[in-house]
Amino acid sequence: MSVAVQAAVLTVIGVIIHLVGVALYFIAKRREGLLLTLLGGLWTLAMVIFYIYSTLGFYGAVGLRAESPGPAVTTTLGFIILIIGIIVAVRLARRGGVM
Amino acid sequence: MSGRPAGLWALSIIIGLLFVALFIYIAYDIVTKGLTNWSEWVISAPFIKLGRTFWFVVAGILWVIGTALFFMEIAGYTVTREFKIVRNRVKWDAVDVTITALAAAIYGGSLAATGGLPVIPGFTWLRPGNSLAPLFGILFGVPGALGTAIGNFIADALTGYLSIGSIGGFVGNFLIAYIPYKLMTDHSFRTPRSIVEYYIWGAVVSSIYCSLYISWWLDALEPVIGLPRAMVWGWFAPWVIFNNAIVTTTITPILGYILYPPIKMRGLFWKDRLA
Repeated sequence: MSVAVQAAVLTVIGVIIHLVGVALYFIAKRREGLLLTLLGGLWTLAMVIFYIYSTLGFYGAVGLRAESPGPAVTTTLGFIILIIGIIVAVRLARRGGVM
Repeated sequence: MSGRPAGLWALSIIIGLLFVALFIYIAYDIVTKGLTNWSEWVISAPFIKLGRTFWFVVAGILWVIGTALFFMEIAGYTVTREFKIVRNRVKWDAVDVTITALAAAIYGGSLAATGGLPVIPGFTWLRPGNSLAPLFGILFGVPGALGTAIGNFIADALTGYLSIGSIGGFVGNFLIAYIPYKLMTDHSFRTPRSIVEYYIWGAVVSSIYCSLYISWWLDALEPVIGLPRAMVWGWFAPWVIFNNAIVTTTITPILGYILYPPIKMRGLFWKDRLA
């Protein structure tokens, strides 16, 4: 199965999880729907990252292409996500879990 | 600290140090034999000697159990120590969902931050962020474990390893966090019992379980994913065990010791958040 087909399958799974979550939360008024909405949303976000990286030519046969800006961009993005995550987590912890 | 407690502390520290020494020895063995000579690594020996069929059967049983546990927890159920199926009492309120999102961001970010440092280009990269996986389960329970799963999936996209195989990585990383959360009885990192339990369930068993879970998935889907079965069991499985355990035996207990009090004090520890 080609990479494109695998990505399409994963995208469909992410969108389905997201839609099931939205339906459960807003229509069936089930709390677990919020979790599935988040799960599907972040899954789909990963697929968006995948398609952007593919379009920009960051991927090699497997992993990042060393000659591309991919490794540097990923390292930078990783640190940014990590730092923002830690800052938000610390602020959240100080408020006892309330945003 | 005197008498029996001092003896228990000494014993727990010795057990911890033995695990650390074991994985430092494995690291030394891998470095001296070369990253590409994986068939000669000490940690590869059990996989190569016992063969693909043995590991496929063993890992298949673990895969079924792990997948069932994953879907049960998502559906709101769990298994007790008496093997009874009961409601898991996770509230899934705004705080739990926020914990999941933040765990995903911090775990995914920490893995991607070193994504540009491949150990073997095209195969794997340095993952010190793995040290956070058992910690998120131990401190935050199911929401933390789910955040770990999502974080790994996002990191796969950021590092070029996203494929159908990532579904195995998704549940496999959930299990790294879930096993110590579920099987440790003392999550404080402050007693000899807690330290020993962590090293058994959080550092060793969860690393092995995760490795076998993902390896089975890669083997079963070999026609789709394309990683040769000899490499799945000879290289991938032992490497995942090593790559997880080298940081979970060394960094995680220190992080756990530091982070447990503030998390507990702020009311975010999973036991304090059950419905």
